[in-house]
Amino acid sequence: MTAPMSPRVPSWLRSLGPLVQVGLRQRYAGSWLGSIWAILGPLVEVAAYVALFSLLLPSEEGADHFSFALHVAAGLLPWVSFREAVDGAALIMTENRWIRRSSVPLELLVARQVGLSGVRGLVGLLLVLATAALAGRAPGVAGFALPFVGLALQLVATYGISLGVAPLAVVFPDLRPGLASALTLLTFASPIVFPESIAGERVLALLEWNPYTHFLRLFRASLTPAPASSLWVSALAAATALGAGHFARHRLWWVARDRL
Amino acid sequence: MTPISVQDVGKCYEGAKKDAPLWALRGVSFEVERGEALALVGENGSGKSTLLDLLMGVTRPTQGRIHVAGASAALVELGAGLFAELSGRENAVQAALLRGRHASQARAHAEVVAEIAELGAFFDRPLRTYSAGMAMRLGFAIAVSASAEVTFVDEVLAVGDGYYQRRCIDRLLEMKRNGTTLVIASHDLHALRGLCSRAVWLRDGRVEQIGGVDEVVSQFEEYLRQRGTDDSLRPGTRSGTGEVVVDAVRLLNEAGQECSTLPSGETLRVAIDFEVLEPVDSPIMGVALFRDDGVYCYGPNTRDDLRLRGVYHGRYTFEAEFPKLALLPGHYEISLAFYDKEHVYAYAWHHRLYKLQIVGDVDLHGVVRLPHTFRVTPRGAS
Repeated sequence: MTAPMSPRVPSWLRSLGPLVQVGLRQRYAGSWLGSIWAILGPLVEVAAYVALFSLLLPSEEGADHFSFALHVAAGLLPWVSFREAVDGAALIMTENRWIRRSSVPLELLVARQVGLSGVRGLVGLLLVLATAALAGRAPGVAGFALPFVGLALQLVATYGISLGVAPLAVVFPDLRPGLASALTLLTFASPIVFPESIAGERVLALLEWNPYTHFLRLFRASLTPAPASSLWVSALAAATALGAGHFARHRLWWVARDRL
Repeated sequence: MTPISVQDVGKCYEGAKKDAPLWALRGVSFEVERGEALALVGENGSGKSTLLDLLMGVTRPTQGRIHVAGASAALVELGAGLFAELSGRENAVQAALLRGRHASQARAHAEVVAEIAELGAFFDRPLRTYSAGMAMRLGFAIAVSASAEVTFVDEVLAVGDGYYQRRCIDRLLEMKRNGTTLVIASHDLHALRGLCSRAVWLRDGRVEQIGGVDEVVSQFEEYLRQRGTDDSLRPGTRSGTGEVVVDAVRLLNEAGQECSTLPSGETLRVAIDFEVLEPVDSPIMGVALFRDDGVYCYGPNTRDDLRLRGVYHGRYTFEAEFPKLALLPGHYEISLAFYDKEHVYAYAWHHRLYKLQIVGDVDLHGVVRLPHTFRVTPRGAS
């Protein structure tokens, strides 16, 4: 048996950046502003949260609505990019059916999808940092670096999960609707739109077992210091997702390919 | 070591029922030498595409072994993976990036694609503004621009317009001249005869015949004729890449009068008025006679009898004369064809389009009256 005609990992990795650029042009093709929407979209979202929580909600003594708006934005934007990538991974093989007769590695298609979705998270975190700095709340070195470390770890985890989900969704078609429900559950099982401070002790204990809680703490490190444990838990979660994704891809690719 | 070696290969897909597996291929073995062009022929569903997928390494054999040495490329499903909102250039860049090229290499690659595709200013416009033919040209250009030692081609010869088909075959001929090993699956049997030296005929996933391309393709054509399943062999078919347009065809008798009925043994002249719309170099022209039940009686062409040299462009009349045509009484059909100098693709091909009745007062059996004598001699002494 000859080796598949797929480029090795280092050779496709170098194509990823330009592919994401082309993907962004494709995503916004036909619009007047084009790829600028990749920045404009998250900017409008951050502005909307700030406006909603700072200006529209009634001011209460001791309540920092502005910080809460940034807190929500710092969690929600990376989360949406994660969700979009994993949702998209379930369709990646059926929407790119040509891959079954192609030398293009599935890894590259998945990485492109993750990269495209990751742009939203990256722009979102940059905007949160910029808004905080403009409001005179510039973070320290750790507060500046940790959100991006967290995002990098999320991208690795997203890539791993997506790599497994892509063939799995072909072999088990029920995975796709099931995945959408699971992601909705995870949205509310993670402190994305609510602060951990309002959770009771039992809920807090449960949140500790949710890896995404630790990713969120890293994203929000510019606003609230993140414990070191969150960094290690996130790194472990990313490595586990990557390993599991590769395992699933190698076990299921040929079966999924034949079923396309 | 041969660049392609296939040993007792089988491919089984899971059937609707677990206990009824579907064998797409079974017991297939052959080798392809370096620089050789191998044709894969067979009806739809015979296993040609599955075999190519196995050779391309995009699926695994259930049994047997396949070895492909050297870098390989594939011309399959042209246009798949192109995006409507991207321009031709962006699609070319993206295709190169997906193949693992650097950004600078991908941009340079797009220039090569632009040259092959010949889309002019459209190359920088969104794919959605292209006609179907232009999109196919882009897909073809992207596919053939990847150089490789071994190239697999799956049914890209029989699609698209005449221009596309001609470019496609020209490109394959060029690859062959450059020493590329080719495996070509196609229903265009004539093109396969011109492109390939050997052929494998697959039938229900098994090798029916393997050998010289003329021998295998002839057997396959005969099989199709008996089954009546090949549209291209049906009487009354017109095809071709379009550089030559046939204006009029006249069947003339010995006195030069148009006729549709001819006495057996008289001279037949087939006069064809045609126009060459674009200059063509050293074309091959031919006329063939068929009995109306499909029996191929005779088909001479200028490749064998009168090699035409030079460039033809404009209006001409081509005449084929059959002195003392000895066909037996019956109904016959005439084909005519104008081919490129390599005898691979037809500029114009009218298959069994013109009717001729041969009449006579003798009741003989067979196709043709051959000169003969009879003699009876006593055997031994009484």
